[in-house]
Amino acid sequence: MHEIYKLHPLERKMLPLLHKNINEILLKTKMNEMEIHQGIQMLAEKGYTKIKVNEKELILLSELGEKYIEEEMPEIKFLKQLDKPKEIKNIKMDNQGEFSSTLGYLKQNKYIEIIQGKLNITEEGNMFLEKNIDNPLKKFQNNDIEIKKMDSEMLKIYNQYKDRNFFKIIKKKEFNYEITEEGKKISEKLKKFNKNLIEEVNENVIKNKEWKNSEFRHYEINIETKLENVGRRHPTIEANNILRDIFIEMGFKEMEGPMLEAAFWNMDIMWIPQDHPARDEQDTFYVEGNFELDKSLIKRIKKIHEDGIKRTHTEKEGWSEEIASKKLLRTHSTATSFRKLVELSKKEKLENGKYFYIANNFRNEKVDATHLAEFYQAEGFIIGDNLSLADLMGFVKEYYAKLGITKIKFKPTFNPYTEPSMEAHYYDPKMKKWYALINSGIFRKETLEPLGIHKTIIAWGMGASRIATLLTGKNSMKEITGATCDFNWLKERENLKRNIVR
Amino acid sequence: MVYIYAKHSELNKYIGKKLTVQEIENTLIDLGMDIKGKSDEKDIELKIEITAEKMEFVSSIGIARAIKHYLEIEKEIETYEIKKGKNTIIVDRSVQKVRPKIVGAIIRDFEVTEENLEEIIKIQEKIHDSFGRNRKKISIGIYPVKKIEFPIIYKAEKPEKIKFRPLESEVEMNGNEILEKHETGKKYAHLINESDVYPVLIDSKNQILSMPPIINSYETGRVVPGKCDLFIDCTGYNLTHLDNILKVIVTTLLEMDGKAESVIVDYDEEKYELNLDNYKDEIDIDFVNDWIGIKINKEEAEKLLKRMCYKVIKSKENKFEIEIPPYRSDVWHDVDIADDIARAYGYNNIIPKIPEISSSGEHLPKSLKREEISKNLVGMGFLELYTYMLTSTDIQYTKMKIKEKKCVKIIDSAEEGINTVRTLILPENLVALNINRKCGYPQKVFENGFVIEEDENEEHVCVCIAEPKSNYTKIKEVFDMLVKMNGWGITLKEKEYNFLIRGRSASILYKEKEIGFIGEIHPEILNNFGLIVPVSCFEINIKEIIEE
Repeated sequence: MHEIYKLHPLERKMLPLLHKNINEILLKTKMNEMEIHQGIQMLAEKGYTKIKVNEKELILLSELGEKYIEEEMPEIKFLKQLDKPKEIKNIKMDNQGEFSSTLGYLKQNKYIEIIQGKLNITEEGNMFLEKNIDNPLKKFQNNDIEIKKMDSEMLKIYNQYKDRNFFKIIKKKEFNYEITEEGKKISEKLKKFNKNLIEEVNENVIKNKEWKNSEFRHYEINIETKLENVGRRHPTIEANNILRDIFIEMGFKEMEGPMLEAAFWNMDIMWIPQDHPARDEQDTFYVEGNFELDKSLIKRIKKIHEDGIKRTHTEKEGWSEEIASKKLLRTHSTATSFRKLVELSKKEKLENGKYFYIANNFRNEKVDATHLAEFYQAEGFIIGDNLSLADLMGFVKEYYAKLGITKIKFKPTFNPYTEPSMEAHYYDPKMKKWYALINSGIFRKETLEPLGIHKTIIAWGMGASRIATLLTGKNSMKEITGATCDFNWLKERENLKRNIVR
Repeated sequence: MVYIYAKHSELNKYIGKKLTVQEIENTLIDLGMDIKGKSDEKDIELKIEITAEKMEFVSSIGIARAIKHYLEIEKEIETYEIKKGKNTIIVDRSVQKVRPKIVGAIIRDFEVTEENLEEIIKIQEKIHDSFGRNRKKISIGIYPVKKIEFPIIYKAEKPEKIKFRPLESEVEMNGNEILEKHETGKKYAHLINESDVYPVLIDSKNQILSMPPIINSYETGRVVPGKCDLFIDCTGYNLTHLDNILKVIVTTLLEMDGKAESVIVDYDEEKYELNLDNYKDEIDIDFVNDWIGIKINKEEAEKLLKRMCYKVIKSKENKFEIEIPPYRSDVWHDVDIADDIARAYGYNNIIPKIPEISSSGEHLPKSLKREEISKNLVGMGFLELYTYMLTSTDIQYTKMKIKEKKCVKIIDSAEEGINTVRTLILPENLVALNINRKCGYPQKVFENGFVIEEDENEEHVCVCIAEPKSNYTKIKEVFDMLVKMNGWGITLKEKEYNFLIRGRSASILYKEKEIGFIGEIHPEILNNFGLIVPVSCFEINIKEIIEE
């Protein structure tokens, strides 16, 4: 019977002792209380013992009650002062708090009466004093009195004194155990089993080749475990890495830029007018202070905002440098794309190329299930000689395919800086819904001419935080970011797959 | 987001054909709009989202007009006539500093009904709220012409001198009283109350017509059902914007009824008069084919242009001379025309092609180095955290007993509790440790992220060990191993910090510059963050050391 081999040394020790109680075991063996409890617990888990925990309510004397065991009861002290009728204020008590409850007790039992404003001891009161009974509280000095098992006399005393805080009630758990049928069976088998099983492999076991004469104790192979120390990447960072990897696979070069920007880089340089709704505080985190701007760049941008190109509709009344110099937290990483374009445009020859950035952006919105104040976007652009809307669609299709998406719908939309502008929605067959993930377009000449760029540039921004949410199988971005992320989930979550579609 | 609510029956009425809701929806999406909601009623009301450049879609009339041409239900493109009028609005210099620009026009012989009056007011309000930016950029007034004696003067007066009975009021009020007591006055007072004079529109009989952008007068500003002539004014700051919206309003009204007549607006330096001529432009179909990535010929192009309400006047080979409707203020160049052709072609009919740009992918060297550090720490059994950069000075400085340093000061956050961007990751990680205090210990965590110092992005790595026996040795083991794995030439020097236990802390130095700290967190700080286990930690600015 394999089960015998699985008995832990403690279990083997305890099984034959189960008919005794804990105190007997303590006396008879060298085991300590913790080992005994542990052994019984282990046997119970295997079904060899049954543990019954009894909760008892016990009465004990409170601190106050203990005090009056030593001293005289307060009612005796009180009555002794009534050799003559006295006014209440002339009665002395050690403990003023006791005064009213003692007075109440004496009144209740009619040991005192009030005559002409003074307290007098009654016949009953005198009889009570003479009796000189033993302090009834002494009966409660034994610590094991169960409320349920008090006899009538004790109950009487309890009821008399319970309102005077002389008692306290505690709950005590009593631990009882008995052997089960299974336990009895294995005990019988154990009596005939005298093999010594090796507990652990150690140097001696190996050196002395102990396995030649002994077997090892068997283990429960399906024990429950919990590994606490787990090192793991954060799923949002992993998701960003997946997006980064896909860009690298497609031949893109990584770029980066500052999070604190001038309004100039976040809006003006890409043809967002100074009175565009997105510039309201509602959507942008404005920050105290202003940035110094590049003089030559300002000149060119000012000109395009005021004069436009041909029939462009413009500000006319004046583009403000002060507004453009305001500090803010970037609302999109297109600001970085333009920094890159300015850098590239300064070179001898503007080379074709592909650039990307997985960037942290900020929007001044109230946080809810679908909106975070800070979130990631996967920004990118391709510079080419004759890129078209079809190329943009081709890029999106290829990128999405690497995330397991095959069913895509393209939709016209509007951005001040691109024309045409396009959204790409993908279909999730499990949720039976279309989801938007990307906003894109071809940069219009008002954005590129001031930089001296005459090539076609297709560009986009993808909701990387949304993609991360989908990749982790969660429902909202808030669940996978921030200090509130549950450590257990961070440790135990499933590995990310390169597939958005659930 | 601008939402237009349009009932199914209403749209079909203006489209001139019974289309199903699905057909309407599909066309709206092809045109670049989106359906954001549908009511349950029998006559379904659609919540349509329009984009910021399409002012002509501010009413269901404009939307229906686009649909009927797109689906070739209507093949004749509208021409909007406007008669040259003799009436004048004189613009006085006084109004320059408060609300400088005005445009206007008259619609003659307009049969006002309960129904279309409701629609007109709806359009006016929608423009005010959306394109008008809550009346700041555009404010519209509508008046019955018969109550007005032209020429009108647009000027600015001291508020006490402006006295009239405004709409929705029983009594006469002056400018100040209107802003203080009238519903509408209170709501929009901020648009003019910083000036010592307020704009006012007065006719030749000295009747006050209105106080833009606030309210019309009861006497002259009420439109009631019946046949009449309507005067429309738009005030604001930019003449082009106002001209654009006036064109939208007038062409929309002309779709309902009436005949347009221009009003001369006399600014000293120039005169403005509404013109409903089509814009003229040219388009090269070869350009369109290249820009969109399709291959359409002349005939196809002409058909697509017509469906988007463009008139083709002349064509020579692949070059067209075209006319654009006056309500299209968003068509400036060939790319805008190309986009319209693409919408008519159908975005989903375009065949995607892979851009033929050959390039090799490249990580930024610092990204790779940062990744290595994270992997090193995971290898030592640490769990990566990702906490927010947006935080409060209370968490970053007060709770940490750190003197507030130069940091980003956010002006007005919608989300409570945010007023700065972190300069240290540690406090945010302590918050995470507190939130997770019910998870088992040890808790070994790290974050490899960003802070903003002196306005620049800085890369920081923060590592914490929280557990009953956490101490300096434990964190130093990790620190030393990390330094070894990355080959950093950094040293430690004893230093006191308010938030670390004195005698158990050091600064981390690189080329004699302090780039971080290491030590055991002081129990007062643990207490501030609600932690009851010891935490040892280090945080280091790796920007320079990874740039090597």
